Amino acid sequence: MLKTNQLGYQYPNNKLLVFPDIEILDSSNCLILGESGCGKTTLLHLLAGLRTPTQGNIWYNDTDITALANHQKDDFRGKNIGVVFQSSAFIQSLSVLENLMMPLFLSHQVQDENKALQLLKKVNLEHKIRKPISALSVGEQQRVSILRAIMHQPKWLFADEPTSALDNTNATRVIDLMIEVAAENKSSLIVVTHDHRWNNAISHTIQL
Amino acid sequence: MNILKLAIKNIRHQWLDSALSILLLAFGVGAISMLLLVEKQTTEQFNKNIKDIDMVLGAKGSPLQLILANVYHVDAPTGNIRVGDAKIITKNPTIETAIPLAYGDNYQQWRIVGTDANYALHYEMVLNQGQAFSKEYDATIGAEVAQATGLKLGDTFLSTHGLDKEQGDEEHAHHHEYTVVGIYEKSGTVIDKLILTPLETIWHAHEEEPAENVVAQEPDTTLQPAPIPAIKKGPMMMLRPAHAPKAEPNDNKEVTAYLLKKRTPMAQIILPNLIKDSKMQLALPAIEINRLSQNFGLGMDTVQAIAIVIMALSFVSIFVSLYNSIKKRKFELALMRTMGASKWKVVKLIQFEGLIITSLGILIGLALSRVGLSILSHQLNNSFHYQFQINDGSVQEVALVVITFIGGILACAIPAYQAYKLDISKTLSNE
Repeated sequence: MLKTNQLGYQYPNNKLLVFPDIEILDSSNCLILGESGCGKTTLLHLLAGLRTPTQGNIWYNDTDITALANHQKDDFRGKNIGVVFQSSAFIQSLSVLENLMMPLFLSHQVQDENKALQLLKKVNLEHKIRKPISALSVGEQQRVSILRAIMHQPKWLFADEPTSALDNTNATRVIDLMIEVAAENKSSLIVVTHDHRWNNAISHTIQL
Repeated sequence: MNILKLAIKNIRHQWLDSALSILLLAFGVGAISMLLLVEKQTTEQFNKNIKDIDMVLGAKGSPLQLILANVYHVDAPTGNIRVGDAKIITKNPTIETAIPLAYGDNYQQWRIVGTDANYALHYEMVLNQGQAFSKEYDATIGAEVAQATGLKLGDTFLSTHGLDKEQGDEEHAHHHEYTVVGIYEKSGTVIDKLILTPLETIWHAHEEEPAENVVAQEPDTTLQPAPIPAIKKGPMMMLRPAHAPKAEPNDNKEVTAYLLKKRTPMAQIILPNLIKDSKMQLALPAIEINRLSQNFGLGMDTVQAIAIVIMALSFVSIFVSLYNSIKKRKFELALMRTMGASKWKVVKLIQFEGLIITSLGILIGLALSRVGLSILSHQLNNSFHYQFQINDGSVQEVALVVITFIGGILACAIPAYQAYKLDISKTLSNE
């Protein structure tokens, strides 16, 4: 279970943003909605342990990640959290397969190439496994970045505006894919967005 | 996937930047390492050949030329001197040994030197085959000569007049055959490059020459004692030889130079005065070579300075290309951090990239210096029969590698620090 308590973040301009307390059960999905500039991305970064809150706690079951040392937080992130970004980010010098191996390598897990192949088959990209990442279209890249986020089977899968740049057809594909892989992996999917196309897919919403 | 593989992939991905850094470093390291080797080997060679030769007696002219011609055998001799005239020095009590050298001929551009047994003894030469020369037209040859000409024990050959002329110039070929009676083992000294024969061979060969090739002989001086130069009264008076050296049949013969070993340090002070007014001079190898290497060293210093600048530039290039690549790849590094990489892992990645570039630069540089040295060696070998050892190294070269490595680590210190303090969240949200 993910639970926050009095979570707040003070920006360099002294504006203190306090977020409502959140409670998300294991394997259940959640939509965090809000307009641009209301701190959605900040909240996601806080939850994913990418930014340190000014106040409050973040509990993943018994672990308060705000109390962890830096290297412990790195380890925790590597093992338990996957993140899908708005614009798909990759290591440009690596191939599709090598990019998919990165989360396994960085969280010290067995680098199972077969697993990458199985996932790529799911999105009909198995023939591009050896291609450089730059050879993929934007839509293809977005699908690969979703696969990468679950390669290491994280319990918690975060997504920051994963569909805002996509047309309806592609957005639907991405939404379906994320729901599907999260369910297969028994991960909780937490999507931060202002895109209302998600509303039908996830019922549990938190409005900022 | 591992950090090393990732670093290599990143370097290959930005191959243009990487190639520039590697190339600059390779040229810097190559130039310095080549200089170090040239300096080391020339110093070694110079010192080995100078071995206990305190002075060289020869005809007036450039003292440096006298040394180069007679100790190193790389320049033309300054001229000849009469054996009788030289006695004032060679028989002087302050001189322990005087080794005569007479030039004039070559075989396939390898110099033939007329001398006595002391010459080979002086350089502690060891015979590989056969024996030392004992009679006229015997030839004992150096290892490099044997290798280059293919001459074997018992072979005969015709000499050519002059020191460095091409063979086959029929008009100037002598018609008496030399016989190879011995071959020396390689010693690293000049004798490796020489054909040794008794003095008498040279005298004999040149007596048969038409008059123009022989310095005019004055019959009336034959068997006359060599004149003792007048020395003014004073402290030098006592150093004048008590008796004029006894006249000998060879007094009118000529040699090119004598290599002298002194018995007392006084020799250096006294002897030059005895020949002040003659056509002879005494040159001190140590001083001349010192002067030469000072001038030579000036050029070396300039090249070395340029090489150091090139190396410094290459470090700047490594720094700039890593710095820029961090700026470009900030998002990638933040992504790696998101996926669980620690700060130190990204620092390690940057350091690996820098060190791989440095290592490649060093390796290519060391290879380049060997290529450069072999080209230089080839050219010197053609003109002077002088060679450099390619598979050589030096302590300074090890130091060069270590210093270059440290430079490489320092060049990526700032980019690595940037990677270390990278704010994942700010980078990802483009703040």
